[in-house]
Amino acid sequence: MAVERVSKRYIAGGAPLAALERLDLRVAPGEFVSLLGPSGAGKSTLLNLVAGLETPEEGRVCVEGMEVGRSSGAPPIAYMQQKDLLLPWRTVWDNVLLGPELRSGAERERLSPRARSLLAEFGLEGFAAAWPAELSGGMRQRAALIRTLLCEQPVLLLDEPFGALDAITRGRLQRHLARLWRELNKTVLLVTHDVDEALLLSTRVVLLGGPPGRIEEDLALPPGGPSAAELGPLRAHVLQRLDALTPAAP
Amino acid sequence: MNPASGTPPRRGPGEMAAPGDSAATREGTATREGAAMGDHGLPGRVAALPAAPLALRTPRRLPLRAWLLPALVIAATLALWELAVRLFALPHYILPAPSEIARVLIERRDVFLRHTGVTLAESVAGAALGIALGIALAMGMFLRSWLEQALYPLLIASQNVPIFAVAPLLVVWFGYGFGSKVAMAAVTVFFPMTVAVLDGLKRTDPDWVRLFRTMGATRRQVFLSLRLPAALPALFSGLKLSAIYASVGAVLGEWAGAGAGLGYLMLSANAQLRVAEVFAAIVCLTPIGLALLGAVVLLERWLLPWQRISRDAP
Repeated sequence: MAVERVSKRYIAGGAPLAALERLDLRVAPGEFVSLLGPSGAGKSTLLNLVAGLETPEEGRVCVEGMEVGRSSGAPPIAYMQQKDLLLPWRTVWDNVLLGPELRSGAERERLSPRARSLLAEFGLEGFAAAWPAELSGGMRQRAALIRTLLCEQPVLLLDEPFGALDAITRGRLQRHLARLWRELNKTVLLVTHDVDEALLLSTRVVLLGGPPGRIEEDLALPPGGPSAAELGPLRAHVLQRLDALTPAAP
Repeated sequence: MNPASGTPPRRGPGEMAAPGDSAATREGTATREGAAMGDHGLPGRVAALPAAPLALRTPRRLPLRAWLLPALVIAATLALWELAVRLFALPHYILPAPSEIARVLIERRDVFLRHTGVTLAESVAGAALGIALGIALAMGMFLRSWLEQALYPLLIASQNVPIFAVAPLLVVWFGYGFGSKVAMAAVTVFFPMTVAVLDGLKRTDPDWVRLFRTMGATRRQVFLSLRLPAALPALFSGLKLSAIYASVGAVLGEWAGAGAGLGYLMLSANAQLRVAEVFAAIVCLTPIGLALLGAVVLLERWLLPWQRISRDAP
């Protein structure tokens, strides 16, 4: 996945605002990259550009050798937000199979066994026939993660996926995600505000500053994750950089 | 830094039934699952199976107060009314007593039943027509913006025309009988229906649309699998209004000229100062609206079972 000299501007309150300024980012297949940075640094914009939901004014975005926006069809990504976006009129089962269903009935059929095992793995096997409104926030987010995985795309774009959860539920889902990433060999781009989440899950942490968004530091983490001894200094370093990047409160 | 790190979010009753993915919970849910689905695996669609969190499926019963209170109010009003008529010896052509109205209703039940049937048929046919037209126009205006630009101002302007003024015209165009009443009910229902459906289609959460786009959904899929089901609650709001207004439209149509129906009965009784009959006709009119509304509510419960749960959810 490659983001090449990409610029993106918005009109905010009548004035143009540069969200990203000639940003370059390369992510190798199988990497787990976390994007950290203050609000307004363009983290979500970057994700939206990779997802093909927005088009850059300059530069180009390639995913799996396919230029986003140019070639027909959606890029080979699966996208997940802080909002679970489960459809309230579909059961959990019909929600998690949404991606395959939109491709074809045969795809839905093919991925049903996989859906079943993922539901079991995430402790939702008793809730296949439940409506999303019957689930708690943590369960809904698990269902959303299963839906994302069932899209069967090589690249996962996660925009603060666990941001709205309590610490225990978040920790469990993080461990799930870490294991799935190791098993499934996916490329992950994760936007988060949680420094520990970034340090524990990723192979690389990218610090963004701005606006306009630019890469301030690209931090490769030791393979297998930082050791307990390494974690403390790393955390301190990242927090200090983030603090410096966050504009002073007025 | 994390927006949720302060207080844990409120938990639904479902989470209490299965907190997280601990081994103990898995066992619990697995047992229940085994009973519901068997070990052969899930069928293609699970929706038909007994739904999962049993604790949530306790039948909802109306609390006593919900029906007792209005019943008491109605009874008290009728008693006061009866008392006032007797106390002040009001003549029946000014205000008949409830007992008098009841007597007329019972004595002339065949007449009232027949005319209620006529108005009911007009209301149902008119509502069906107006609803169908309203949904079709709303969908057309949503899918083709030029159609909306062309028609929306006209649609709003048309609502400034008093519906009374239209009724005689409809009699001229559609005749003295059934047709003009159906048209009148349809005209009454059409506007709230169009607005409700158009609004529902427009209010689809843009984040859902983005999700569908990342999944490579076609425009057709976004409309059929997302916007249309998302608009159903709004559509049902329109249907409820239609259920109430359809009979009003039908009666207005009858007032403009008719040989049958509760509106016709009211007019002819009023002309002869048989005021008790006017009231009796009004009494007959109420169940028409209530029956139509009840039908809509039943349809909603059947088609949108998830809505009731959404409302119950914490």
